[in-house]
Amino acid sequence: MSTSQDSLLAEFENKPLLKRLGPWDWLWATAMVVLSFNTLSLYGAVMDGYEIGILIGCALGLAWLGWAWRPMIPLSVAVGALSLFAIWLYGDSLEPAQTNFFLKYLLASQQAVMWMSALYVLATASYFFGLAINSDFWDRVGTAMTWVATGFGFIGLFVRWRESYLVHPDFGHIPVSNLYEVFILFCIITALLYLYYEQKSGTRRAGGFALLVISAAVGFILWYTFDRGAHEIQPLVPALQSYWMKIHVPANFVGYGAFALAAMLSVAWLLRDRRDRKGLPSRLPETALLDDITYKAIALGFAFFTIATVLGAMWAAEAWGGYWSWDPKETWALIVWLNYAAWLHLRLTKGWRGAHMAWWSIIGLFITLFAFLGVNMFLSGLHSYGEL
Amino acid sequence: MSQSAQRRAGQRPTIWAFVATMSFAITLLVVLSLASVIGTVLQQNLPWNDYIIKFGPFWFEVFRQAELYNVYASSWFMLILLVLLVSTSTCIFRNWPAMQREMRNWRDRVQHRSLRAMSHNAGWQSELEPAEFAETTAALLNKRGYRTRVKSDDKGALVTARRGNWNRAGYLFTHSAIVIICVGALIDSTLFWRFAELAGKLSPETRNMPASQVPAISRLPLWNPGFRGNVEIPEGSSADLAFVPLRDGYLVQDLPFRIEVEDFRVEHHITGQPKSFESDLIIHDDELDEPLHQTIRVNHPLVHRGYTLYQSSFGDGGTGVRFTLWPLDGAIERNNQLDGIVKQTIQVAAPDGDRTVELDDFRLFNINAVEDDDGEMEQRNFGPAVQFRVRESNGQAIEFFNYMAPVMINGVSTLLSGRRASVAEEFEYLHIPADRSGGPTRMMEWVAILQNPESQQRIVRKAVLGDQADNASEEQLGIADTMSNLVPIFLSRGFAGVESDIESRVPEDQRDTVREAYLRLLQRILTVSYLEVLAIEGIYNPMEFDQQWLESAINTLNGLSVYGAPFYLQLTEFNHRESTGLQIAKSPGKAVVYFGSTLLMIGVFLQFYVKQRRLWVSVKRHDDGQREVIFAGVPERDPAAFDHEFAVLSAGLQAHTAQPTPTGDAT
Ligand code: HEM
Repeated sequence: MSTSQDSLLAEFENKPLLKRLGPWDWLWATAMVVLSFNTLSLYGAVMDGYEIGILIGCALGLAWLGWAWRPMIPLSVAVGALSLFAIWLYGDSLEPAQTNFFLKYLLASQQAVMWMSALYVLATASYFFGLAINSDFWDRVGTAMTWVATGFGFIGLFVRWRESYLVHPDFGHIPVSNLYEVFILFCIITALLYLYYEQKSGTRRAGGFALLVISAAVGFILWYTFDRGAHEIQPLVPALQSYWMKIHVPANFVGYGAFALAAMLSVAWLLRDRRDRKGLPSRLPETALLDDITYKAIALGFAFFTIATVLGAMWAAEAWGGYWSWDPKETWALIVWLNYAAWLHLRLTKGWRGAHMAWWSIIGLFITLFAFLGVNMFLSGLHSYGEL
Repeated sequence: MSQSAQRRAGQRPTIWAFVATMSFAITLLVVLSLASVIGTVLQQNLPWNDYIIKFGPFWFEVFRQAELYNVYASSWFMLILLVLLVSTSTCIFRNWPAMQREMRNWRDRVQHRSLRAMSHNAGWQSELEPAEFAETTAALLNKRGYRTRVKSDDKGALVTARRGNWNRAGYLFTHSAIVIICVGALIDSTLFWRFAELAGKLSPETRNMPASQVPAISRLPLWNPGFRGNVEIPEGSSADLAFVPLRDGYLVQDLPFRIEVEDFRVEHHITGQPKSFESDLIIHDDELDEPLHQTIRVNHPLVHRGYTLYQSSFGDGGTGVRFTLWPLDGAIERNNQLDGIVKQTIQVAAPDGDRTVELDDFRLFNINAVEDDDGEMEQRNFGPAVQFRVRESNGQAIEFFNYMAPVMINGVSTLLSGRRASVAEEFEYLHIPADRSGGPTRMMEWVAILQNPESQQRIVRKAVLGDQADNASEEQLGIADTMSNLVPIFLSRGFAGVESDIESRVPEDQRDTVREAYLRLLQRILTVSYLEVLAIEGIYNPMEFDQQWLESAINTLNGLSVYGAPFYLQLTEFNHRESTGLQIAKSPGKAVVYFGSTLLMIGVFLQFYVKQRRLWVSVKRHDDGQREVIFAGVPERDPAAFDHEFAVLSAGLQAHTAQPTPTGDAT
């Protein structure tokens, strides 16, 4: 955090968000509105009321996100343009994936996901290398690769969305319906959250830790792809054919991503806290900063997890006949939620800080992981579509 | 805690103070989590028999006493929720008044000097008069989202600034939400029935009987506020009740309307996975002018008078089936027209004791993963199949799963008949090679010829004596007849039976020779009999198909020895009738839960994202004409963010109000 007198003053004079917006911001927002109207006029006839609501919500949300955090604008433009390019290259058949250069090597969803995977792993290495040799350059390379990887992840999902319709019109669905797809979502959301806090805090030194959990997820994706053929597009089971999936799943993954990020920053916190150690740990960000971001990530994750759970209950009421069935997935979501509620209480009302809170947030990741993966592997229930 | 809260705490029994503590609340959250885990590890609401098998009678009883088979409706789980409810209510009750008071209190009676004692403070000199200073400062703070209150006199001024009261509302929202959600869930829970059970007015039915005969003590009245039950309705039928599962039994919930099912449909993707389940319903209700027609499907339920009807499962609604009964045991009559209805039984007379065929299920589509020609797995529809149990008079039963149409397996068109001795096993399939018309006729004729004592004798003689059989001597025929035992042994016990027969009768050193002779003879018997079967069909020059058929059919004969029923039922016709499984729910607490959930979502955001701040700016004119400013504040929740905010405000206010010093150095 920069605290020079000038920047403090500048911040004091800062106007509220709406008054601070320049022409580019308005152009961005206008583009969002125009695009969503365009989409509506093209496809409005086949969308139901909820889907139209979701579309408009996404457009407004993206406009606001771009205002609140500028780098979202170039990211969205690049992802949007490349995804549309890929979709245009496809036309009405999957054939071009074998013949077209761009699709074959870059933009077909499977390729984009491979690029994403490779870049996240390289970014992890780059961040750690930067930390090891105390080099800002390698840190910046890590950041750049993380951005590009995130872009590829989004492209992979968007193009896959289209591909699912090309496989068979009946198969078409938003790619957040199975473990393979949500792991990609997990990677890009965690990366975006990290990049946000990286920019706000002005230090890249915790990057390797955040990217480590993403690399682990990448490892899972690769295993799942090559060993289980999980990338193959399958039709949706009837229980998932609902607009609710479009909101419930992404909201959940903001939660999971934020909790994962918090846990990894807590690992960095624990290393950094050993003051006697010289060298590498001493180059990590200050414990106070790590602690602050950990808290912010958990608070954000908790808020989104709350929304996701409530929306999940509303969906369950519509699909299964009851808003709460104590299905293992539901129950574990509640456990995750209660766990972080307890964490937040101790921190906010008792002011607890330090090593035990860091450990707790790391344990929280394991609880989250169980809710996210373990339930699908070991327990059966209504949510059993994501089995390994 | 404010003073008054402490005083109150002193007056009340200390238990309430304890119940409202954070430590207690956190313990509760952890206990609730741990309790919830149990129900995810131990599968809930299975039939009690399954638990007895799994745990044995002793542990079954222990776990039953601990109510572990339905943890989330158990008394102790309810108790935890209740304690949470009480604790959170108490917590709100104790904290909220103080918060409200604090929200109203501007705390504008602080002394200029005491501001210096605050954790965050800054000081500078101002050139403005106190009143003007206060006005400027207040305006600046207002612009940054603070509400301000100004007190000034000619000696000095105090600006009190604050923002983020909504954060407190957030506390009220989230914590009331917990209470409201718990109350909603309690309304929808089985708590009321529990009282009815204690009062002896309600008791679940455990017997299997028609709903109309279920006694009143197991019926829920129309006015019952909430329930979640199921009913299965065949196409073309109707129902006006639902079965509500309770522990190892069920209750019957009467409905104020009748649900008729016109049609049920499953649509499939090209890969064979189901695409949609739909039921066309007609609701007959006296309150409606005319019956209500509506189609429901998964994710699209029908809501009628507070009852919600969901598509939840499907099954067979009494499909009519016609079989050809092929005897596998010479003593039973062949029967080309054996009719039955799924869920009912058919009697089959047999000399060694009559059999009951219990028709359990019929399935129109049977998607199986099979290897295609390239060795890759693909999903293939094997077509209609019927599932039934053949029960002997002693009660023992074997279960069968017979497909109607032949399936290509390794290039041979094959009829499949699965069999298993218990539900715990997988089906083992008998492969019956189909004849040219796709049916089992050739196989069954062959079996009949082999089994018939007369043709058996004829065939064995022919196999032993070859062409001389027709004019052989009595002696030769006698020798041939000694071999006729081989056929029944093979038919009833297969190759393994022949082997054990040799072992029991032949000394070890001669077995190899005898085995070779027997197998060669058996081969000849089978060939001779097969040629007879072909002759019946009018085939005198066997083709490749017939050769291949024979190879598969020998395996089938071998397999028949362990088939387990004295006949094979060939499904020849069916009249499909499905039933739809509806879930019917009424949950008056739902609106309450949703209201609480909405409060919760809003409250969480208020608590995290509305920052609560309180600041003071005081200016004092000293006797020497100096106007000393003290700016101070105390962090509440988020010290790191407060540090920053304080630094920004301090820099800004100073820049706008400080005395320009001759050197121009603002600090
Ligand atoms: C499942 C149950 C609960 C949830 C999800 C929950 C959630 C929260 C959250 C998110 C905060 C935010 C902290 C802040 O921003 O100040 C909070 C604060 C607080 N909670 Fe809870 N809470 C629960 C139960 C309880 C219970 C049972 C108590 C009673 C002992 C309690 C007492 C408090 C207090 C005193 C605060 C601080 C309020 C303040 O000063 O702002 N909570 N709670």
